[in-house]
Amino acid sequence: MEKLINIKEMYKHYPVGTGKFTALKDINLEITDGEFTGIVGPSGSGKTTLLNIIGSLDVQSEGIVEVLGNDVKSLNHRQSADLRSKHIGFIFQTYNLLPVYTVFENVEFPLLLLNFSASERKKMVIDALEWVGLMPKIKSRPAQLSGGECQRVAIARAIVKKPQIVLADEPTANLDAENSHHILRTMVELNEKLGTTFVFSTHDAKVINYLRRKITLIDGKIVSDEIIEQ
Amino acid sequence: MILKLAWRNLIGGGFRTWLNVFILSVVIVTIIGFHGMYIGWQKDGENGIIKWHVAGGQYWQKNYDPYDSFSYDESRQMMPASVPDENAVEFLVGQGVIYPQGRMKNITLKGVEEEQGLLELPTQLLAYEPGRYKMMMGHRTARKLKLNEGDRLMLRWRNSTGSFDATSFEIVKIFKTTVSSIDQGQVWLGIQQMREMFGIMQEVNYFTVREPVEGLGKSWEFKSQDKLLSEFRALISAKIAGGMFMYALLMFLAMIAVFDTQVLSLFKRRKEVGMMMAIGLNREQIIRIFTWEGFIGGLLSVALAVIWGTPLLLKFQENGLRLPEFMNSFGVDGIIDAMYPQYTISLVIFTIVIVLLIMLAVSYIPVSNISRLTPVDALQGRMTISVKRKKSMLSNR
Repeated sequence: MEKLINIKEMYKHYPVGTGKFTALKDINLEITDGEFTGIVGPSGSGKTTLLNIIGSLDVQSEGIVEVLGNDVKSLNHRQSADLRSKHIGFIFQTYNLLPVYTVFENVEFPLLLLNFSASERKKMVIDALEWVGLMPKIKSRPAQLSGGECQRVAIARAIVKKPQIVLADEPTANLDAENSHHILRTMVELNEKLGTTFVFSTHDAKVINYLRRKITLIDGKIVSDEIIEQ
Repeated sequence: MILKLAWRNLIGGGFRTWLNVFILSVVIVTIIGFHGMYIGWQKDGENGIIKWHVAGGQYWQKNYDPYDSFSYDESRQMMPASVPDENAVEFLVGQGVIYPQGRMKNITLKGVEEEQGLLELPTQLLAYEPGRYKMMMGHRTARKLKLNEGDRLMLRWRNSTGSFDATSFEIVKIFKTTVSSIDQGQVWLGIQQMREMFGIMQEVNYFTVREPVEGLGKSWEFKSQDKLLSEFRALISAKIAGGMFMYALLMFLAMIAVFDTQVLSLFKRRKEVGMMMAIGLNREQIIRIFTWEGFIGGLLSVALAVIWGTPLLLKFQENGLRLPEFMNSFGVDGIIDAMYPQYTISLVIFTIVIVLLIMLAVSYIPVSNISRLTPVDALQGRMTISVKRKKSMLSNR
């Protein structure tokens, strides 16, 4: 199995007043191709910070973080944007869809950056919307969709370019139980069908039941890392 | 890709976009309209001055100073014989006192060659008829003195012997002219009549020519069209300078409106910027998208301005813009009772370019600040980055 994410002795500090606050402490972690991994822990434990660093949205203060062979800290903003654009998909708790775009346009957005032709984009968007079951809503705008549907659009947007890694930050936090299960089943299917690696941050028990690997983070430190037999 | 996204964002902006576009189009049309009025005023005024008084230039007797009444008597000389009669109009200048309705008023007397065909002054009406004293004046003077055509007016003057003469003149014409310098504070007589009154021979103070004549000697100073128009041009320049204030104010208001909308919209769209960064757009691409959004908005404003502004401005050009009565009483030079705007290509292009540049600037400035946020800050909708956090971020990068 290919090692996609490799983190060694990583720390993340934030300046607070004259001192500093350490959000992540001595993180050592490896995530391989095709994993369906959750980073769980209470609020403020550093889950989102860890995901942001893996996604090259932020950088560590100390240690090594390699994502797809790239040392995150050494990338300039263009290179990290390039890494995200080509290899990483993001799913956010608040969906972060573009309100003025239709479902089709929202999902198409990442493909525009990768210079696919119009016909290729159309096919890929339709495939992605079929995977998440949103074809009937293709012309709707986010305001016309339910929370669950918005999150499915966000999933389609994250997977449409078939990235190697999808990072999902509390993807079910704003959803009811039924929608949460629907979303999670969709992601499990995509993980199995496309082989995409999913890394979640969550403190939602419903999500934890779907995970195949659970990394528990408390006060910025990994306290357990367990493989869950399905 | 950038253009496509910018266009999508702009059109997706709906009412906000169209309101912005409409406001800018109003600014464009207003600026062109205002400036067009000044250009029209200047052109009308210059044409008027040339047609009514200046023609191809004037020769002033070297001692003649129109602003010094003492110079009138000392600056009379015969027009050189080398100047062809048909290409010149003679003028004689003197002083007098008129008594409109019993009041007394000092006035400049202008004697003009009656049978001239060079200027639009209706001088033929002043044709010499022994025993009949004829006078004409501009509509501004007539209005001020409450006189009408056909009225009679007592005029007193000092003849060449130094004694005062007076007689009653008939106002044969009140002419409407754009040129206040041949109207205000003066009345027009036939030159032959005036020579007879003043007891002088064929002398003139100045003469207007169709085109410059060479070799007239040092007694005559040539005043070119440009020189004679310079006062009027200075007046217009002063008005334009005042107009520039309005121009700048309009631009400023438009800029504030667009800047405000862009800033508000961008701050409202911080998370969108963060999402764009997360998806893989780099800072330059984000700046380009939002700047293009503003620029395309500017282009739409231009298009909208063309659609509704062109017929409106052309209608103004055709029908003129009537001035309020109080402005007429100021005797605004170059205008009778309406302004006829003229729009030049350079005015239109300049205005459009300025508007587009401003749109670029007001779109670029806020987005260039927001794009400096880290993706995490933008995603979290943070307004600013603390200095320490920025330093930490930069040192980490």
